[in-house]
Amino acid sequence: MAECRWMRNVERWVDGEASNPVEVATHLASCPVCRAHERRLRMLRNGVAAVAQAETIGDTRFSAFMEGIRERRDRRPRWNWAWKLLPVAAAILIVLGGSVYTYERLTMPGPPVVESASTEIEEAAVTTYASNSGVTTVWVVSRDNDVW
Amino acid sequence: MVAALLVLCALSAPPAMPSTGPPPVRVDVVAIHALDEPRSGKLYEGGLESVKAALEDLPYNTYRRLDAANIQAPFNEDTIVPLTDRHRLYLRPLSKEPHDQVRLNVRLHMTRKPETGGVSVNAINTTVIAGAGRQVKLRGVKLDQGELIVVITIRK
Repeated sequence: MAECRWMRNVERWVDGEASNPVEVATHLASCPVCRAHERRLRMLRNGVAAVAQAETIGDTRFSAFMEGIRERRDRRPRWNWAWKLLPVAAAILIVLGGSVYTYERLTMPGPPVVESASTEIEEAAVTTYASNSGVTTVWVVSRDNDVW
Repeated sequence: MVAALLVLCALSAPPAMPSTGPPPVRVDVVAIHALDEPRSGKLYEGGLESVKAALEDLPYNTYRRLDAANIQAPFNEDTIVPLTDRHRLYLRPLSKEPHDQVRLNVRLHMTRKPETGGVSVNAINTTVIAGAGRQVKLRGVKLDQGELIVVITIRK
């Protein structure tokens, strides 16, 4: 493409921003390069203007348009109800867990039970007790001076 | 003819099946010599970790392991566990009880020293009902300025 040092001035002139419009117009009259550049600029500007048109909504489509806006505004997230159920599920789990724990504690056998206890050592006696650690003790108590 | 038939029946009869009673009871037995020695603090010899909790209520400061055994005691039979040269433990599972427990007869048998007559007696004869993981402790049998302690643990 041929170049001319006035091309930049022509661009400003097409945009209505030239500081010397009379000189640019006089130059255009005598410069075929700048005249061709002006034509390209105007075609480009007119083409962009043809595409970039603001969308308008006619009266017949306005009610449907507003309905669509309301629908998107009022739409709830799909997972919202799940969050509401979460504390309920947690409470059920806690109650179930506590019930199982209590049932196991109630049905689990405790320390060993002594059905009977005796001794053949003379002048001795047997006693039994259960300690806090769950151990059952069978204790033969004899005279201190009994030597075995 | 009849004799032949009888022989045939005897030969074709299925072999006698062994009794399918409950399996033997698994039991751990630990024998401990508990006494006081001139020291501060308590001493538990090695090998007493599983029974240390059972010994904590005793008034002695020294606990020495005499013997330990893992026993399988069949039901309605005496299983003998030697503890010392003068003491033996007899274990006799009697029956299975609810909640996976077992009724167990335990006899701590001892022989007095010769200078005191050498008589053999059951120092302790007891029947207990215990579940898996539970412990029974026998105490009070004197042994060399201390006590013979026997801890019996029922296993699954």
